[in-house]
Amino acid sequence: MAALIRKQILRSMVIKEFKQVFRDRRMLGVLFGSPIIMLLIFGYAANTDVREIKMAVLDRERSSESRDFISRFTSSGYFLLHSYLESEKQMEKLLDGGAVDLFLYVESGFSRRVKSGKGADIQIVIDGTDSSRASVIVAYVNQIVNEFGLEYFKDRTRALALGRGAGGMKMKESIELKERALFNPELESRNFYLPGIIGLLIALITIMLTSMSVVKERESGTMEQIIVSPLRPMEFIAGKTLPFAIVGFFDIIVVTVIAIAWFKVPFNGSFLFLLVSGLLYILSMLAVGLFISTVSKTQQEAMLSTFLFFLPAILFSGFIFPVYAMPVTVQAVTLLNPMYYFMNIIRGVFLKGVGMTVLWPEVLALVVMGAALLSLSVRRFSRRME
Amino acid sequence: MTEYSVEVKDLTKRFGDFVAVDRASFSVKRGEIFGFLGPNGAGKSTTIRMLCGILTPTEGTGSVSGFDIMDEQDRIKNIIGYMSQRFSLYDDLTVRENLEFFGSVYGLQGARLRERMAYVMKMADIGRRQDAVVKSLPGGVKQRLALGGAILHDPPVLFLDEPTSGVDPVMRRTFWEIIYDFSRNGKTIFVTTHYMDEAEHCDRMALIIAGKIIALDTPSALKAALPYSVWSLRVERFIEVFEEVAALPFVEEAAIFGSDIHIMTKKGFPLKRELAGAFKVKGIKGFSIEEVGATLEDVFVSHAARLGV
Repeated sequence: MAALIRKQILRSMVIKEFKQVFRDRRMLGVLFGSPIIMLLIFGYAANTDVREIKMAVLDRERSSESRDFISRFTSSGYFLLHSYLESEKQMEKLLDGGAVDLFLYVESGFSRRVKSGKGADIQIVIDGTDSSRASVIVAYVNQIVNEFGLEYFKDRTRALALGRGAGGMKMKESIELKERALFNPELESRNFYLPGIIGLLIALITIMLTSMSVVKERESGTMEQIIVSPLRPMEFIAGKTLPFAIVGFFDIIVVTVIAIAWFKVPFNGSFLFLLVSGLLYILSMLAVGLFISTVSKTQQEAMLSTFLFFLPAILFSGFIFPVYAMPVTVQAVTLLNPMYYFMNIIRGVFLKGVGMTVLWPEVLALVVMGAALLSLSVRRFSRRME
Repeated sequence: MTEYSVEVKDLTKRFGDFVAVDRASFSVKRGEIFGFLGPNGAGKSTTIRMLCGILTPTEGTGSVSGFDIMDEQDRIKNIIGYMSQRFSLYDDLTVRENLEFFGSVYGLQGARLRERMAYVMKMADIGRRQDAVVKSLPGGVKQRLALGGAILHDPPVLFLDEPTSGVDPVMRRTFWEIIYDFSRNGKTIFVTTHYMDEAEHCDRMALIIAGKIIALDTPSALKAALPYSVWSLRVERFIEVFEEVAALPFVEEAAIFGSDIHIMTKKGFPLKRELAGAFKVKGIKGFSIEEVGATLEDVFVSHAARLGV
């Protein structure tokens, strides 16, 4: 039996593909535009860290205690004082217009009630439009209020003890929580998103370019000329996918380098492991691209189909929304998503510095899924070609 | 090897309920120019595409150069050239890049490839435009280059699907000169067309209507076999007269040819006398009529009328 792929012919095919890609503006846009846009968006714009919380204050008390309380917010580094208000009516307008995220109301009698130990009420109103941002703000507020209460209580106890002549008595420290987040110590959202972009980018480029370049042949009629020629289906498939595998591989390296060197994302794992698992991921994405090319008649259709796959794939990958927060049935869907496994791998490699010993189930899943998808698509494709 | 380059028996292609090609049987001799003449949608392209391996026949058998079109497509692909109705070279590659790519697909390399490329570029009148992107070439040159792409590997059997559609008359003549040239060099040419005058260039031809081959012979034999006499009537206000003529009982078929009316009657019918009588009654004056040789168009019209299409 003759070889499935003849080297000389594959070479001509790949050269031809590269020439065509570099002469096609649309494809060039996908190739160079999408990595740049994604890096900019997720490197600079998409920041889910909650900082610069704009705060309006209505202080009816105006005592040194209330001022001290308010300054704990402004000096925490998270809150920005927007304005002091005169009445509650002003608040509504500010919250409606989105000028402030948080409204803090200190009643008169605040310090008297605190001193008397009766407990004082303060009121906060938060713009809850963005629920996750609001809950982070609440957490900040709670922390500040607790600290304030605790310290005040401590001072009072100490004063009381001193008053009773127990000068030498040492105050026992209460329990204090010292947090330390592993793997991403500053809890920077950028460190979380940027590695994930590699997964996104490879999917977009390989799927879209593969499907578009195949469909383009069908659209322009060159496919017929290919079919009547002795070019074998496997040669055609390899010629159509190899260039984009190379491009995808190149993208992994470029994005990794930019993420590390420019955005200072920590890279703790093995680069080699990243490349090997990246290759497996590229194969499964190429298979998806081939499959799309068998169901699309025009380049527009191919582009739409790509996004039809791409958007759910992102949603079910854990790139933005954590998979563990999804209902169990939906979680089952993510198990069929190659992007989900690659997201786990890439974040593990970047942030945790883990390798094969920990990530072998993900790698195995990529191998199995890539092989299954590839054989399905190749079979479907060859049938259509003959 | 057999005497025939292409042999087809009861070849049928159905798309759902639609029968595109209905039990077509024919044979093409080695070195022959074989024409497939029919209107658009008659099944010409479908037939050619089955022979080239683009479509799989629903029923029937066929062979090209002795290789079975069902089982031996791989062998067939190396010995045929195919020029499709649509331009099918890469628009965004240069002339040279296209020829190098397709050359390598057919296993051409080195001196042989250069020699074939030079031949094709000369035939297509590329001149110094070898490094021009194909998109930028004039239509006629592109069309000839497409033909060149089909013969780059010097195949003994050539399938041309409407090679001259959309080509100006001068270029069409050039095209046919090239085709004759191939034929003289012993190549078998299977060509489809819907131009009647082009069909006259063929050694033998098949008329195909609605998927059925309704006649197959040399152009002259087809014309001779016509059971009618063909007359050319010249008259003023021919469009109005045409209606009257077509309604006459002894007129089998009438058709407008330019500013003349072609009339078909039974062979040996005394049309001159009968028509003079009929026109006298209707008050039509000043006409001339003579018997003319049948054209392929007459043959086609008579067959089409017989089948009611």
